[in-house]
Amino acid sequence: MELLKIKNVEKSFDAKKVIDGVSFTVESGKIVGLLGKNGCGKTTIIKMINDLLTVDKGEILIDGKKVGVESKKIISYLPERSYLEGNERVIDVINLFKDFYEDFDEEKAVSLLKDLDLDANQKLPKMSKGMKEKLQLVLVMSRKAKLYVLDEPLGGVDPVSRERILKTILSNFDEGSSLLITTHLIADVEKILDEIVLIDNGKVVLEGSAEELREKENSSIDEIFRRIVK
Amino acid sequence: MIKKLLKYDLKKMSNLLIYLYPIALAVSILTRLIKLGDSVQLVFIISQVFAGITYSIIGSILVNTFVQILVAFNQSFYKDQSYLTHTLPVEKQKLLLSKYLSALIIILTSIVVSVVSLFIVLYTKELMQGLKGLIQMAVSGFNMSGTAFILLIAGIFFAQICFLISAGFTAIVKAHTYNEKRTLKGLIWFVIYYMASMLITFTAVALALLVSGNIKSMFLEVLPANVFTIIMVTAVILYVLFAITFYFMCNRLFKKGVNVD
Repeated sequence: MELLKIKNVEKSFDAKKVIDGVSFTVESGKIVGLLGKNGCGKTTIIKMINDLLTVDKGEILIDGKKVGVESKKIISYLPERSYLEGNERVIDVINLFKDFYEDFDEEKAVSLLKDLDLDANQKLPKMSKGMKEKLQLVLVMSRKAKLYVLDEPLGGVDPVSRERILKTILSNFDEGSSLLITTHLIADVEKILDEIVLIDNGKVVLEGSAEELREKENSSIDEIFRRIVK
Repeated sequence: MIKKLLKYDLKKMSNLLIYLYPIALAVSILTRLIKLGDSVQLVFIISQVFAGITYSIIGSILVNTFVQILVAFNQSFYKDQSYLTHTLPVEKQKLLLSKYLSALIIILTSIVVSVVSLFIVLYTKELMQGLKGLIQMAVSGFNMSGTAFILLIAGIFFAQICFLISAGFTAIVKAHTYNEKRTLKGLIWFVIYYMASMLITFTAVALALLVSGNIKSMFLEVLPANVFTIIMVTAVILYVLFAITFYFMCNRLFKKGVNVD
């Protein structure tokens, strides 16, 4: 079943077309990697899926519906930026998520905080960038969403933490749900991907099953990526 | 849902003000207490210094009220915070309405705190008598009751603030329909909205006076009572209409979708 369908989507900033006729789908229960080098348009696509940017042309359907309140109920989104500002404590943000998302599991959040060495009573201004990234991951993975959209969850994180983050993602993501993950650190994520969508200059240049591509090309996704995107 | 949104919006918008309100009240009470002994020269000087501090805090409250409201609006809808705001499963109209209601609550609170602080610092029997005299003059001169006069003045003040905030919000939303120089464009749109509204107000007041046969008295040094009432009532009605119109304009632009920074 198609959970996310992106059909001929275009987006321009002034005269520059940054997304040019992108189409792909994410099926239920699949882990899809939206891959590409920095600035290729991955985040723009993610922002359009999450109603943070308007679509110039084309259509985005989530569970058959256009982007809106209903799609936000089933998408759990981890942005590349931190929205954790202000003088609040970690527990206040947990409460905010509890207030607005029906699928938010508070117990799971508290348990994940412990796993990632975060203190529920710590104030946000006293947290490092890395700690805030971990907290956002906790918030996102504590929802029982149908689709998890993670934008560069490994960006700016050391290799040891990358392993830990990937482990947190995989162990907290429901089998029936789908995961759309963007990254330029392909070698780190390729082992968990079912499918890949490779973006370059705002266009899809390669799409398909990760396993089949590896067999067909007789090389890793990272090597294929390096060959295609120069 | 609006209740939940209000809770968080009020928290964001009153970020600094929440500390300034009790400080203003505390300093004004302290000033009042010091004033009790101001027959001594040194105590008098100290009381004047404290009065000055109170006025600065009140000034800071008034400036910060506008700044905080506009900054919180901008951050929540277009800066990093927007990555959370726009991904909440809430209709855009509700997000916007909550911002408007929060702004109104904060403006009212700031006005009340400022007036109460000023009253604590400045209260004397003579001042109260002077104020009463002024209202009495208005009552006899403008042919209206004291309550109606106070309500009209408070009404025009409050309606104008609501209009300014509503125009400010719309200018921010309008500026974000562009991809570049959004701050500058926001300022330009605010000036355009303000000037257009003022032009409409002036035309409407002139028309109201023309219809009532009082157009000549508009240029007199002292306004006749009926002309004053016509001008004030027309202005209040127009400011309220502008605030509502800008709200709907903002809502319409906002519903088309956002393009965050």
